[in-house]
Amino acid sequence: MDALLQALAAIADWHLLAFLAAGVGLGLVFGALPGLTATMGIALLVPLTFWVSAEQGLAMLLGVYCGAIPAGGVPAVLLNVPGTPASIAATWDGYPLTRAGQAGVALKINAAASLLGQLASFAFLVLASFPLAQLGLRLGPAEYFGLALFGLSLMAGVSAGRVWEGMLSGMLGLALSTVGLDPMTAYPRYTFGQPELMDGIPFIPVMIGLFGLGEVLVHLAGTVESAARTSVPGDHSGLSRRQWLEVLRSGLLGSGVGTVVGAIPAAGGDIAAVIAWDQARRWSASEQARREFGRGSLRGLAASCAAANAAIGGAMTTMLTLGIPGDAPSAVLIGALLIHGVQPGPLLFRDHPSMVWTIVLLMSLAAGAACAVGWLGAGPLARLTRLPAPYLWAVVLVLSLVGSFALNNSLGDVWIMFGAGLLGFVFRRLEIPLGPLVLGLILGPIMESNLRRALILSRGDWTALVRRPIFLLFFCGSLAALAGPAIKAWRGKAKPAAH
Amino acid sequence: MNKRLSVHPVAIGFALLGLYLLWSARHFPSAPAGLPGPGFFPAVAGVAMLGFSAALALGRPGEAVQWTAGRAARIRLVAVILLMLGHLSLWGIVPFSIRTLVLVSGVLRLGGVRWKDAIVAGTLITVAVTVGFAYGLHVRFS
Repeated sequence: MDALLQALAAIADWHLLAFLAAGVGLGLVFGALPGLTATMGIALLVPLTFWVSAEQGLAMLLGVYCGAIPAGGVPAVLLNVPGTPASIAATWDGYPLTRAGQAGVALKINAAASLLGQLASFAFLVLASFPLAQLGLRLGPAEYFGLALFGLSLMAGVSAGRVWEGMLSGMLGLALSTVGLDPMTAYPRYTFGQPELMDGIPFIPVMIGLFGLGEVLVHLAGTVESAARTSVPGDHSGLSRRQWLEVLRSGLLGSGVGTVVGAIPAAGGDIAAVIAWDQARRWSASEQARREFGRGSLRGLAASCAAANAAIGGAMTTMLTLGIPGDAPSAVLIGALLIHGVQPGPLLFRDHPSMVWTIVLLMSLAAGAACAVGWLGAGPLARLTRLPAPYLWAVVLVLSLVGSFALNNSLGDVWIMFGAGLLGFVFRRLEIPLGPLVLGLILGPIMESNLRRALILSRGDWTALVRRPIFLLFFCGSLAALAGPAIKAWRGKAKPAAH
Repeated sequence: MNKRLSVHPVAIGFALLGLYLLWSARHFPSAPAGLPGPGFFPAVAGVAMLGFSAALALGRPGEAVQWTAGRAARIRLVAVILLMLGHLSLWGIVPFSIRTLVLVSGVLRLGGVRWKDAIVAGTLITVAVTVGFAYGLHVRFS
């Protein structure tokens, strides 16, 4: 209790709150612009914190972290371009809602679900840090392989009736993830002598190309109609009370999934959002409700947004309790904490409990501020879709170019983005789902490196994998996730996708 | 440009890619003691592609594919792709602001915006991006 009171006294300082507000503002910018990420924002601002106190520096960095993830959902909803990798799943239902003239509603769901996800995970951070972090420590290479395999198996679920095309798209993503130096032997694979490909195909330019440039090219081809109408700002009749309750239920499900997945080191909001989306679909009350997923489902959007943001609390749990980063932004935060003399780990809770409470309170305030901006800005932002389409195309096109270049200051990334854009256009015309390709690209390296590590540890004994219960659980889940849609498709009962 | 395009060419395309992955995987060095080497995952992806391509070819009849909405849309699409190719090809040769102004103005004009409005909007967008990224985030475009 004393620690909580000390923390409350610490944050009742307008200097601190100003730094937090600045961080949230910058986080919103970094999150909303494709190509700029929360990790990048935190890393760029760490040097600026050298000249301020630990609390003030932490406030700014946490503001960026908690502001960027919700902001990533804004372009995902409005333009089908994820602002951050964690927002990929938000495009599946958010953008169809925009095209149906419900952009304002979708943005409000993004804001509300983001707040719910973050606050739920922060509560978990306070209540159950140690047990969850201990569970995360029990995961070895076999379990990580199983988790990644389970994540990849969801490609059948996100293929919306085009199961075989989705599987092929996923395998293409898996194949693309092998480009570069082999993780175990450093043998160059599919680099064709190009030094830019030695580090592999960077994921973010591909994401920007597929979803950003690809979308622009589809519109240029004149085969997609822009949203005719957006919902009126401040019009609460956009959703009924029953619909908001459904959003809340899905948001809570997403929060739970996101917190647990986020606590697993190196499993971030992107994986959490996809798993949560799939779980929300599976737990839908009716077949009709399940069919809505990927076509503008409020539940799907809520679950994915909540999970993407709940992963923040999960990652911070692991980082603060064990000193192990839960995701990329928390890895940079560890460095910032160490610079300011704060050592994450079990001793932090014993020796500096007020610091832990300060962090939780700052993140909660940042989450609230980001939600308020997102909610109030839903109407004006939704009006952007009323801009004449050529202006939107031009902005998206330029942001795609500079965003993919800004990541590594590499022209090679821009060429990759361009190629991915053309691929995205072709895939859309052939109705080949893009989600599985992205899943394969993200999860491929995790799958490969962990499988090979697991087999090295077991000296080549494949049966050692199935003797691990957590891996077996993920493996059975993967089979179930793949088998159902595949059997349906084989029997010809699956209907063609609407998008 | 509307062509009746069977999904079989899609399946064939992926099957060929799968065969290439299988063939290339054979040329990667193998790991000791029977462990998976660098060629394992490409081979897995290749085999899976062959299997799913077969399932696709057997399971779905041909469908028409509408590539563009008409001749004007086709010209617009090709022109923007060429503008982007030019932008990327001249990177480091022509200043970023000039290339971007040409690209953005061209895209707007192709979208039906009048020349004057396209150039004004193109200038504003170019300035905003340059100021934000080059001066705000110290991104060096050339």
